Amino acid sequence: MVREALLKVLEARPEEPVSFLADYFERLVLGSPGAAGEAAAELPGPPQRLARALWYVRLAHHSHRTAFDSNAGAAYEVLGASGRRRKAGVDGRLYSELLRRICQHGGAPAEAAAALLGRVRCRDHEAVPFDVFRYGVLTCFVLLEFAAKADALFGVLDSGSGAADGRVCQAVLRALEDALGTGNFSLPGRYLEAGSKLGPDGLALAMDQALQERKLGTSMSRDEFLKKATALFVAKVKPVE
Amino acid sequence: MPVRVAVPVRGGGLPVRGLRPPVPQVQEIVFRNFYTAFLSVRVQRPGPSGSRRWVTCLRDYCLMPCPHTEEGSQDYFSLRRHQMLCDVDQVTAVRFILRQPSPVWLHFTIEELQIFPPGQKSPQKDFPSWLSQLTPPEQPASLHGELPDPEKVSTEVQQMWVLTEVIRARQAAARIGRFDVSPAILLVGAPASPHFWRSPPGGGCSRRDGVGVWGGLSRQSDGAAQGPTVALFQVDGCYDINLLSYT
Repeated sequence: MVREALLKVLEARPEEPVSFLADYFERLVLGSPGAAGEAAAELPGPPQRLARALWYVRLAHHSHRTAFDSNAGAAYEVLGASGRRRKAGVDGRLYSELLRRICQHGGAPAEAAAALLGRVRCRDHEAVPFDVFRYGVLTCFVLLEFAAKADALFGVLDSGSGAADGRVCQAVLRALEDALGTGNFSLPGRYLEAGSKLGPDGLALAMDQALQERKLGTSMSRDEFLKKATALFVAKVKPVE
Repeated sequence: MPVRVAVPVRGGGLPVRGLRPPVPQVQEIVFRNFYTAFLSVRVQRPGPSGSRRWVTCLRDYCLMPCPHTEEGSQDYFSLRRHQMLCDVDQVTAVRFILRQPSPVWLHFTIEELQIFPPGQKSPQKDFPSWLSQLTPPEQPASLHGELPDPEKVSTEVQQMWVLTEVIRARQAAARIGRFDVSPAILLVGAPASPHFWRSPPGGGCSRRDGVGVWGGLSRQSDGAAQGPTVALFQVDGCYDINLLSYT
């Protein structure tokens, strides 16, 4: 038990290890009353499984690839464990529900989350292989981070006033879309090209041109900006087939 | 413009090969050797008084340092203008004289003969347009005041770009194995311990010609499956089986 707890600490790398450990042991005790000695308690119903799986996948940031992958594996095991009445395996219903909960707690707009789920979802009856599961979970987390970044970008664009100039927003979004769209070269070439297009000089020029083109534009709200930005992201997600 | 010739020769000796190139000027001759020891090249050019005469432009060029051994026997060679003894403009015919004094090699020739006229440059790759726009020609006048800070904007936008690229590059390697029913059954990979479950009746089963199938899962017990997935189908007993075949 202690070994697994330490392994969790190593995976999650929390900022406060001691409180993380305390939380872990408390959750362990609460999760299986009377069986505190067992490492992996058998959870009876789907809601508890979902909560546990959700906890697992939230432990590590998606950029810590190995930690994230092993956590996703643990979550997959938990979700797919066989119970008294159901056979083992993760079906589309559980998978979709997990993804929905992940997206719910983030700052992504509902339409973007729905669109993303539409791309990576599996039908309820389908069996979800681990690779698809990991891909779906990773995509959700990346969407959440993307939405957070778009939010921060809007904070810069509006300079704290709450509503940014529509022309400037459109220009920036168009530059991003342009950099995403071109993909003729190999990977290093694409990075260089994106770096040159999205550098401060290029963006300043684009924004300046947008301001000069039209005299007075409508302002864009935060929600609208987030929707447009996340739509760009979701368009690049490859659907599961 | 390459010129191809295929003339088999045999016996130790002195085969001669003639060519009438469609190009009058020669920049480079490229060929692949096949056990020829020495090569001489003669070209036919119009003489001063209008008649044509043969001029040796390459005399006993050594292709194989030791004719008895393999060295240089199947190498590629390239002869340029500056290596030739005479001027190779206005060429009407080219003659290759191959010599192999060693009795070891019965057959010798040169292959993949190509003659290039001058003026051919290596194909240029497309020059990316963004490379030529690295330094913007002019700085915008109203850079400050109205515009948000370009540095901060650029930082955020670039991070957003990276996130999208990360997702775009990834794709679920595994497939769900969605099938819109055919009687054929596909079995891929080696399942560790297959588990199945029933689909709800009427939903999730496609029926065609009385055969219904649904998907099963083979769960990889180590939890980090990277290999191909297993799509294992089993037909419930309540359907009539018309055709069952394995592919």
